[in-house]
Amino acid sequence: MPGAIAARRYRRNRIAIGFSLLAAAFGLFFLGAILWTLFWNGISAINLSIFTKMTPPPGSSGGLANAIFGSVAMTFTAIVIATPIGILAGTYLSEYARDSKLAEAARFVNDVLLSAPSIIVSLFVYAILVVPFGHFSAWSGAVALAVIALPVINRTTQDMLSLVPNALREAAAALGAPRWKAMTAVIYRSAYSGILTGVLLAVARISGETAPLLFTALSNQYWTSDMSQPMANLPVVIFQFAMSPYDDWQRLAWGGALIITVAILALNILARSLAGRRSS
Amino acid sequence: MNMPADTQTPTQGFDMQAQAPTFVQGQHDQAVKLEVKNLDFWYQNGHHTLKNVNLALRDKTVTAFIGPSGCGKSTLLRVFNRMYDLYPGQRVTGEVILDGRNILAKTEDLNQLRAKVGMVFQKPTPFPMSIYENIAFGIRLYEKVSKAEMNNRVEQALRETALWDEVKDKLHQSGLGLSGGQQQRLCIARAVAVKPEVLLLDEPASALDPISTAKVEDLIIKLGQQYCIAIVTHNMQQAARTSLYTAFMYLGELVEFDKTEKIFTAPSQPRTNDYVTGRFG
Repeated sequence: MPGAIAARRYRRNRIAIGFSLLAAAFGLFFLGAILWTLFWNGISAINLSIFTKMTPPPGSSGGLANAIFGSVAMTFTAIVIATPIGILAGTYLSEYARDSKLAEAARFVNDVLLSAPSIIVSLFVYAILVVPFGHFSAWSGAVALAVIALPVINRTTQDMLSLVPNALREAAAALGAPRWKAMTAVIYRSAYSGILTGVLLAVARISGETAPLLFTALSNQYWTSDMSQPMANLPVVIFQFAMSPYDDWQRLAWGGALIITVAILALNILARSLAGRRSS
Repeated sequence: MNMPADTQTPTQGFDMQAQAPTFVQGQHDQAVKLEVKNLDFWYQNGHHTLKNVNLALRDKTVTAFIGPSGCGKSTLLRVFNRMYDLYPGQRVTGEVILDGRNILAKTEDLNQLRAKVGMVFQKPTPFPMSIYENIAFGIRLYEKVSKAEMNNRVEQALRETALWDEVKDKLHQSGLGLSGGQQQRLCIARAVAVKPEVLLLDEPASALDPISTAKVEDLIIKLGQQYCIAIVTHNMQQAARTSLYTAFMYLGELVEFDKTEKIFTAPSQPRTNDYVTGRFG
């Protein structure tokens, strides 16, 4: 190859790599800036009392214990509702109804739901649960979160099952295993860590959602473990406290934001390490 | 025999590594185990893959199916355990008689049929569980056995496939951790463990290295004394080494079906001759 052509290609390659690096750095800069601001402002609010004390009235000291508990309780309930439905629906769409028109429509609707604005979900649950019962409740908050988590789990289940080689299904059938036996003993086992990763990502997704809780669980200044009552939760408390003019409330909001971020980061890392173990 | 005039002496081209070929010698013919009558097969796209196939597999005998890719030999194998039933739209006419019963009948219980007719695939397909569980899985589908009995059955299956000495110390490790050749023998062990009567081997050694291939071939020859075995292969030496009968298929038709020795040394059809001497396919 003539030297001139080689030199030109080399130059172009360097330019392309340069631009790619620049774009990556641009994206990472904002991620870094967000995390830095969060740590800088939030770390001073993190102490034992943030985990043990209730949300305070303005001007007195307190913590986020009721909000942290509320978030964990509602997220947990939502995942308990959404996981079996999501996995079963994903199994049906991916394994049993691959070529049916109904399944095609269901898959499409599920993907639409995946990107539906969460405020719409909140309004929907407000209309079907909050209005008939006459008050806000943690149950309705959990249902709204479940509606957000459901399509995520459904979609991951479909994706993970479609990665299971068909040869494995044939091998199970060739031994004379009935379909359900092949599913539970062989196919799920093969897709297990991928589906679990999907559930963890769904947890990460819903634990930071604010909008679905605004019209459902609302918030509560006091401790409650009664799911039929309005319940405090981190995202809504952050929203309220950050908008307030009081310094101590704003500091708690930063602290809460940091707690959510670290928790979601930890979940993502856990999910990734699970997914990584599967591929190795 | 009506040999067409243009047929050449087949032995010229067929060279078994410059040695005299040692074919499997049948003592005397075993009883017919599985009989195929007027079999036609269509895929969902309408492709007519098998055209009026007639042949018989004998008990305790290895029968090889050879032919170029797409000739229908794998499809034929997948009719014997009704694997095609997994895919709606695939259609078959004709009869396959196993021990006097037409297994293509609508009323046939597929799970029981597949317990009787085991299959091993081209790519090793161990289940994502321990070596022990891989074998126990199939046994548990049909029988309730005690722990001790299960241990015996697993060991027996692994010994039958000459895998026991290699895996006896790691029975409870994942079957996915074995080498490709070991995985394939594990799959054969899994199929043998449920005590089938017919074994279908769909290119069982084509994804394996030469040493593993030799082990699998030895195994096929050994198992051939107990089971009715049908093996699809692209490797003609393999067909010659392991089988007593060979079927040559081309474009969905059974061109010639005879003793392996005859197919490779004096085929009656010119197309068979061309294929076994490497002139096409």
